[in-house]
Amino acid sequence: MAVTSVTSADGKSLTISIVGRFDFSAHQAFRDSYEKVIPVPGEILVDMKETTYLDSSALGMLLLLRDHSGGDSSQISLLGCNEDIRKILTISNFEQLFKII
Amino acid sequence: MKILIADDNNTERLILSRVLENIGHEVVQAEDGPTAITQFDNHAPDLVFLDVLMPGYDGYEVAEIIIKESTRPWFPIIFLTSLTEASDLAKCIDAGGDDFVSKPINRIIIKAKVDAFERIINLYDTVAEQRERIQFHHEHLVQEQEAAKKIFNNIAHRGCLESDNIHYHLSPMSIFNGDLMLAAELPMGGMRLMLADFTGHGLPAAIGALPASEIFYGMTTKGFSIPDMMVEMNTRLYNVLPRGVFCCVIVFDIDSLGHRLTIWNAGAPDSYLIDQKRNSIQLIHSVHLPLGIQSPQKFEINCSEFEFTEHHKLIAVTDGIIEATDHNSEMFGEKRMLECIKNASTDMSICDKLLSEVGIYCGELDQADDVSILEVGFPGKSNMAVTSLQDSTVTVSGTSDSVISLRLRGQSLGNFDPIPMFLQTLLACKELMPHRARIFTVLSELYNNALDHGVLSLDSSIKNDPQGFAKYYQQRAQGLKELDVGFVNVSVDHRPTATGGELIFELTDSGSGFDVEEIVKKENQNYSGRGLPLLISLCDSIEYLEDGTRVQAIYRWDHDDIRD
Repeated sequence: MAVTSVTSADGKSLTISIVGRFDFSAHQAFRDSYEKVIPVPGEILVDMKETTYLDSSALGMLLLLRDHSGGDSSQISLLGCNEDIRKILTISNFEQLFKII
Repeated sequence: MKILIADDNNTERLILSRVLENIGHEVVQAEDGPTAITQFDNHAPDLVFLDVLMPGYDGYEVAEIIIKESTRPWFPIIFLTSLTEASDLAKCIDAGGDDFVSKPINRIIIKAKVDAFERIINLYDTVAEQRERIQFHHEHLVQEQEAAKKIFNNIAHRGCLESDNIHYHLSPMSIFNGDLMLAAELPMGGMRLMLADFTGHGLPAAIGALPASEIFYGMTTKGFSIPDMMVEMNTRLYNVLPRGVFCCVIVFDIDSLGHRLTIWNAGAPDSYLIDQKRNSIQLIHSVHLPLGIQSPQKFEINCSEFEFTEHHKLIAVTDGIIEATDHNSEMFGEKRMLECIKNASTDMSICDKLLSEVGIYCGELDQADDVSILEVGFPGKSNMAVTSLQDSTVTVSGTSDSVISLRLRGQSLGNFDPIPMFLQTLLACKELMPHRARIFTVLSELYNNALDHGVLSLDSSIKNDPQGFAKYYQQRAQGLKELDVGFVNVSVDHRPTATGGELIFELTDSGSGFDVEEIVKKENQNYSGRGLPLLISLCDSIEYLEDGTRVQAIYRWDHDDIRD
């Protein structure tokens, strides 16, 4: 598991990439990836092209990210989810909260 | 440190003693093997120097006895030897020694070795002390958990989960892995069940389960519908759970009178509705975010309705079973799960079959610890018995002489379920408690007739096949949504009589009425419809007036009914 993040040149969007399993072990790294970015960027992309697995604690972490970036007014996209991850997101109906691309 | 020196050579023993005493250690001496053992027993030293060659027992033998007798996890022994052969030196270590010093001794080397050993001894002592402390805390924690579990089990009790129509598996440590299974009888017969899975483990999950259980049992016995109950539960969980903790849930009612399953899946894996007669399986998908995520203002719930008879079974699971892995970390998955359910034979419950399959798949049954499975069949019809009153005093109290009347119009018909409110007010008269199942049934049958067939003009004959069943409830939901005119008037007149009391239910609706005689004829052939045979059997009289737009039913109760 590795979490990296990049802020766009204009500071308006943040891309967080997760490689490998996205579970509780990513907790601190995932939080650090957005909590230290001030001001909170208007748009957040979570790149999951190289994420292999996602568990319910990862869903919780996504909710924390959503809360941090404005709750209902947040704009968060989940990019490149594989089929298994998409399935987990669908079961929980997370498409109501995140843009799944 | 206290150090024992065993050496038959007086000079060498004295030199070593002096060296050790000079650097601040206490020394005990022995000049042969047997004395070394006695001194060891009497003085309990921290470290021993042993000459290899001694009268009585030699150094190797003394080392063996000391190691056996010592109560410490590790006891340091340093051999003193004038031997120089590598094999002799190696033997010192084989015999249980930790180091050796060649004679004649060198002060600097002795001091360095003793200092090093002192550090190791301190490390061992620290580890032992910490282990003791950890063990103490662990025992304390286990005790606390046991006590917490008792409290938890009293609040989140299993209700009627032990009924004949239910098979289930729930890990004994389920509280602390966040799975919760609840079951309660519905006031008008049938059951309500809930399988919930809180994210995370341990205390946060267990704490979240408490308000959920209280709401479940409290609102179910009061006759609240699933949507009303889940709105309440979501609001509570939204307020108490920290962001990022949520609760996946499957909740369903089996209405044994209407042969109806009302189900809602929020974030849990598919449930399986099995029709054994038609040999078909219907998957019930999650249709909502888990509880505790959506703010109360945005929370909306739409249940699905299915036919449910003696030939039906429902299987609900949490993600533990699907995510159980084999030794290659491959998950059990939904495909295997569905196969297993399809191939289930009748001599074993599906729950047991799934458990054994997962056990075989994982290679060890320990894995099945995180698995929760709920299998529910038809609960059988309630006999609508008048139950006995727990408090045997028979006095007339509460609302025994009263009229409650309510008129619901337009949108309110879809938004508000008046039955729990009526029931609660009526049951303020404690003598009616034993009759609650009957009163609930009469009132809800009459009200649903007025709403479904009166105001919404739905035809219950379409419920005769499974597709029609779903269609009926879709039409009903649609009708209620679009409703802006129409009304139902409900009035319950409670009057005391010489021996008890009577309840006069009177309902009027804005529908166009119906042919009473025609319906009575049809009712005898089919379970769907207005439930007239049931109403007739429960009430002392029932009468349709004004072309079926007005109904009056009388339920009489007697103090004598209550005495068992």
